[in-house]
Amino acid sequence: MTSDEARERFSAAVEGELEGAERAAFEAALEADSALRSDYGAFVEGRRILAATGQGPAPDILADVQHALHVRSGGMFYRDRFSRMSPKHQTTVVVLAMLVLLGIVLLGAVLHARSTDAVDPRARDPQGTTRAR
Amino acid sequence: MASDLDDPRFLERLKRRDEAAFNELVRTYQGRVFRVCLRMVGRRDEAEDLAQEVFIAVFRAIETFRGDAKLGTWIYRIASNVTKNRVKYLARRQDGRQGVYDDESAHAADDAGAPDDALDGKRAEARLLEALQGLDEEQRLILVLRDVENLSYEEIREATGLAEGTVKSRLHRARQTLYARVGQGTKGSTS
Repeated sequence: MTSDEARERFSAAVEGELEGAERAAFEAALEADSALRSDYGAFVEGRRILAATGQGPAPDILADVQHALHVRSGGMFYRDRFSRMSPKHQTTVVVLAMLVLLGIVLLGAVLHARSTDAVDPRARDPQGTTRAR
Repeated sequence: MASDLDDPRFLERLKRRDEAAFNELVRTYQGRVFRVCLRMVGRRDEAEDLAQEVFIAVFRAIETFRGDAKLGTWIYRIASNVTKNRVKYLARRQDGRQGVYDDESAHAADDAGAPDDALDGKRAEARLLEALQGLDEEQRLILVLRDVENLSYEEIREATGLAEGTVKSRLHRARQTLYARVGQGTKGSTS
């Protein structure tokens, strides 16, 4: 295999697509030509560097996407803050709302019981002695 | 790339324009879409804007997704179309800032406090990313999908609509062009 032929196989080599006699001929060409070896080294290194550049942090664009969809749909989508929350926050809001509702119901029940006691004299005087006087 | 997001019930929710489902989709894919956009346009602000456009296009077109490919591959396809159009638009506009890679790595070469090896690595990275902008958009896209996003040839074929043989040959040309420049830069800086 000539150096030019080997150069045409750089991609196949890094993808692991060379096998058997072709792989051996490629390696022999690299062994015989230091410039080819250097170029192949740069090829492998370049690929490694490019792959590594993709690992940095990406911005969170969800809020911007939601806003854009809200505006472009004429307000049809993402109408309120609840629809823009993460599932975790939605769950928290629902649980809090249920607790507040439960509290209101309990408070209402207590107040109702007390007011019933206050206005119904039979509750305090079941024998009706007050009325008899 | 298969995930719960390929579940038919999730897809049904998306097609019903369920906002919570779409939020999940964006959270899952925003990093990948942003990376592709950044490698295609070379500017962080432009890439963020572009990534938003990709998801808006996904939201609009989700009804047309038939499930032949994975959802992720389909999103890459939309990202490919949106980014290629933007690259052409930017080229027509002759934006003076185009080609100036403003990713962190491009500025890292100025970091005087970094050790020599790390600095060399950052310089090589900045050089590579600059050179990436010199490739034509089709080659750049295929290279990013394969060497950054690790998509298979089949997935790239689905994302770009090109035949597998074409994908392979363009990928090879892109690598030869790009990585040869890195090699030349290394030789130049060491001599």
